[in-house]
Amino acid sequence: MIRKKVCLLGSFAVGKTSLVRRFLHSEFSDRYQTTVGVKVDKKELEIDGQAITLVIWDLYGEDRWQEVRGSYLRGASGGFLVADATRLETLDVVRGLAQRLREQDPDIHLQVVVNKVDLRDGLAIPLAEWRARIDWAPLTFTSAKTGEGVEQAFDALARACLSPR
Amino acid sequence: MDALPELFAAQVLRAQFAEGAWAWVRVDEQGVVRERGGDWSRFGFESLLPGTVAMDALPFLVGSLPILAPHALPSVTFGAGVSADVWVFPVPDGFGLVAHDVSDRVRQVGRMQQEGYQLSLVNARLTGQGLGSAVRSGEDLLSLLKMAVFECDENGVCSALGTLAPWADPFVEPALAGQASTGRTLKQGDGLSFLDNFLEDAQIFWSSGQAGHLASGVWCEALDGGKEACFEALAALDEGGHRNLVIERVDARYAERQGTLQRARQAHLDFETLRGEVQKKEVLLQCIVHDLRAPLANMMGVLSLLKGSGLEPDKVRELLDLALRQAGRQDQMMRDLLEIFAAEVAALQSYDTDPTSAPDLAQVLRERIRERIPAFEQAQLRLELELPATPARLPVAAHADRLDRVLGNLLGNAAQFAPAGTEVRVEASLDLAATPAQVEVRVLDRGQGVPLGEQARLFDRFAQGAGSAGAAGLGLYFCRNAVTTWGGTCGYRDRAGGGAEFWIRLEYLGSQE
Ligand SMILES: Nc1nc2c(ncn2[C@@H]2O[C@H](COP(=O)(O)OP(=O)(O)OP(=O)(O)O)[C@@H](O)[C@H]2O)c(=O)[nH]1
Ligand SMILES: [Mg+2]
Repeated sequence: MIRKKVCLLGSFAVGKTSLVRRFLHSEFSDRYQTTVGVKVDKKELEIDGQAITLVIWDLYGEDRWQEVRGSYLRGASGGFLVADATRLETLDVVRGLAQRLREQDPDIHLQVVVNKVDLRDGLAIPLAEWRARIDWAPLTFTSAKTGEGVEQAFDALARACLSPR
Repeated sequence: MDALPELFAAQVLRAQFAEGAWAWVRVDEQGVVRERGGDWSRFGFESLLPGTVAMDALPFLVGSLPILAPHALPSVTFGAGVSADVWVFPVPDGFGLVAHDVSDRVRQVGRMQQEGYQLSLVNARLTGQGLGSAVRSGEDLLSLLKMAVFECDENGVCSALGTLAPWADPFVEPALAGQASTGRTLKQGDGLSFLDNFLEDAQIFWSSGQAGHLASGVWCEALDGGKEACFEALAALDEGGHRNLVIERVDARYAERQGTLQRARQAHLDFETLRGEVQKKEVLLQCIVHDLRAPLANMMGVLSLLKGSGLEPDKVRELLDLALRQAGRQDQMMRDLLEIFAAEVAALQSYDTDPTSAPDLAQVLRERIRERIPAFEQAQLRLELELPATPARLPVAAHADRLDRVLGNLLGNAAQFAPAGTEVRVEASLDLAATPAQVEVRVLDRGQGVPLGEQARLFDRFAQGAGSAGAAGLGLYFCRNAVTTWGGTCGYRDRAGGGAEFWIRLEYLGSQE
């Protein structure tokens, strides 16, 4: 069985844990429970008839209180970078993290998601503008709340991880 | 500390900085410091003097220039180890910057996290000073301590020392038939699990021969039963040169750390949300002012044309029409705006229905009237109040502050329309026959009253009595809005013998005897 490690990264409260929860258990909660440390989960998928286990590392949100340790990224095939559609500053964090991931491993597959798109009235900038600003990696709009885009985003990253480098 | 100039003080308010040490600087378009104040030495910048180049001392500014609108910069750690929130905003010919010391907040969170790590440190010391040998000599504290201790060899094979608690099962190879838990080996995977990942770091650490310990940081994973548990691993060399690995359950400490971090982050989010709201409101306000100015500018143009002499009467009429149209446009805009705001205000409307705390109408009336008498006397009006003899208190379903305004509006109206030398009466009566029981307040004057045709729209927004001042329209509108929110009613009737009678009826909350 092929196993691939993917790391979820992004500023705090962008919805990393919620996305994993939606993807793994089809659940969502409005309550915010910040992640301390690392949560590791597994999910078995089938991509074009090929079984693959994603080992998902949900890393704590990066902010002035916690910085992600470089060694946690070791061995990751994919980086799942999460921004919050209602907070523009989360894009800067995503950019910084993408740069760090690529420095550590130039071949890493990146997947950016802009989450919470169900909050149509609260968008920091229009979705088209998000798209224009994130032209350097595959981008999916997601909502952990409604489930929109979640499966596609994980699927796309898993697929990329399977492809030859 | 010197005083904060007014301009800066306003910006500090805007940035919602709490109390605390701050420093400010005004920089011109060339990047040269023109003025500074506050406690720059705290931030390690005694040298940031007028005449110096701001960017030299504050390199984080480089990417953020020019400053076109007030905003917060990402938090900065200054050379002196001070963490600061930084707020920048444009000023005429340059920009201003305020740094606000938030080190305490950052330190506090750091300390709480530290407390968690302290325990790990104790563990590590144990590890370094013979924990391994204690276990080897057969002591069995470890499963009690929620620790699993292993000794690893140079190939990364780790065997358990002492008894393993059941929670450690998922990390070790299944026991061979008849095998005691001592000696069971740690599972070796493909490096993708958290523990595998840490073991790679641990190997490097052990090989380096360093003193102290290496901690993995906390991680959580769902164990075979599906229940999530949190762990931390520590690697240390003990005095005998043994490579010890400790895995520890940290659920309680995790919860504590989680709580602290949670509060800090939640506060940060709330702060961001509020700031966003404030900024949105500011933009809205700017748009509004801008839109309202346009018709006004047109009207002013027309007026200055009219001022010039020698215009044909036709031309004058044309210009007046134009001015009227512009005025109408502006009026419409303001109506739309008020409508929008009214919806927001409605959300604020609440009132008291608890008889012990609800406003006492008798008392409110006495007070309002006592306050008003001097003003009425000046206008040569008599102001009289008539309350029922009993009960002494008239608690009504209303919001105290707004009830004050309702009565104030009605009295103000009467004062405006009553001719000098007449009397304005305020009467209150209790109607126990109504369900629910009600108190009625009447404000009566001897003015011209309201013409029949206008009575129906009297409480509408912007309704204006004949020849009346516009203020009355909004005042009555406010009254009706407030009173109906409290489940009451209000209205107008011609006063017997001439004049106006405005009344409101509110639910009576007192006893029915
Ligand atoms: N409306 C909406 N809310 C969301 C969505 N995703 C997450 N949230 C909410 O956002 C908050 C943060 O979600 P988390 O999943 O805990 O965020 P996180 O990135 O794991 O946060 P940290 O662990 O602190 O880094 C929670 O209150 C969620 O309910 C979404 O798609 N839509
Ligand atoms: Mg999380």
